[in-house]
Amino acid sequence: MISIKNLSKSYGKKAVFKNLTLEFSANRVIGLLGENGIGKTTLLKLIADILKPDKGEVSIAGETVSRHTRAGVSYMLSANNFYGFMKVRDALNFYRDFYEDFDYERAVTLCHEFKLHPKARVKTLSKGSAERLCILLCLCRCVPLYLLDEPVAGLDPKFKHGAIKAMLANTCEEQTVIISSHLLRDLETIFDEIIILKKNDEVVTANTDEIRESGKSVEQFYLEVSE
Amino acid sequence: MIFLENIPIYVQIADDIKDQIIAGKLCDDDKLLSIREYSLKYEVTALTMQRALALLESEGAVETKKGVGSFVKAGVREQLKVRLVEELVRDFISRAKNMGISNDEILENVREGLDND
Repeated sequence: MISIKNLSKSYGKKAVFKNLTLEFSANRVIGLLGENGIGKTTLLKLIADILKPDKGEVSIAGETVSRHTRAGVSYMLSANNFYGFMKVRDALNFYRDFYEDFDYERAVTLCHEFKLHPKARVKTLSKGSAERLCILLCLCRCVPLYLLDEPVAGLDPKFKHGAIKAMLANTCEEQTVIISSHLLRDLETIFDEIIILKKNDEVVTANTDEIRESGKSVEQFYLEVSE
Repeated sequence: MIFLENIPIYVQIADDIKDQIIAGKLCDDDKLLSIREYSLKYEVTALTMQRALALLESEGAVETKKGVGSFVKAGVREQLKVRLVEELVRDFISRAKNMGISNDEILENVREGLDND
């Protein structure tokens, strides 16, 4: 589905990837893991065509990422991407105007479920509320690929379940979801596969059922691999 | 449902559905929920749910009719019960033996346990 070939990306002198090659399979919920600063967000932004690679190639379903592939990717924005004057309702309208595939009615229903008031200002939302807004905007588009960057880090347990349910309810088997997270325990039950980024462009890919079949927990496996 | 960490989730879900059959919450020829409904109920992906149902089918506990859904196989409750009891007893005996408890002691403990029940 997504193929990364010989990718290099630096911020100034700081190289994040020097020569990264990896594949994401289609129609799965994939956990993108790795320690802080390893490049999870950078990788998601490269797939979303928000950042450009210095060298190498990122392609989705055989097509190099570009403005054309963007239409098929829903990337979870963070709340500081919205204008200060915007209310929750404005953010929904903005998405409706911007994306033809945006399911406005579903978004309104989710706002209610997520306890987001349409008239609340995005700027003044609590961290958790802002995160819920960003999750729902991301999920209410109908596209083949969803990219969520640390989606549940700021949520209390109740809303975390709500967010997981929304992720499952809004996506189907024909869609691919990539979720970056350092909170493995919160999300491991919905990962079909995990991809662990390590130093020096090393990558470990594993199927979560196979890990558990070997008698290990996903967390144990992650810790062993990251040593 | 809270899952154990080191057993595949599809296996744990299949066990849970078998428990429902044994407990009579799901009866002969009852229609199971759809993959989508189960996926939301257990908070797992559709892929995991497909695997759970495939396992139940391969064990002969449910039957899937294409385009209609999955159903509890008639008469499977007793079979599942026998299998579950066998498993529990086998597990109990092997754990007791690992702790160095003799057959006589095992029997004595079971009798005592039943008397106090």
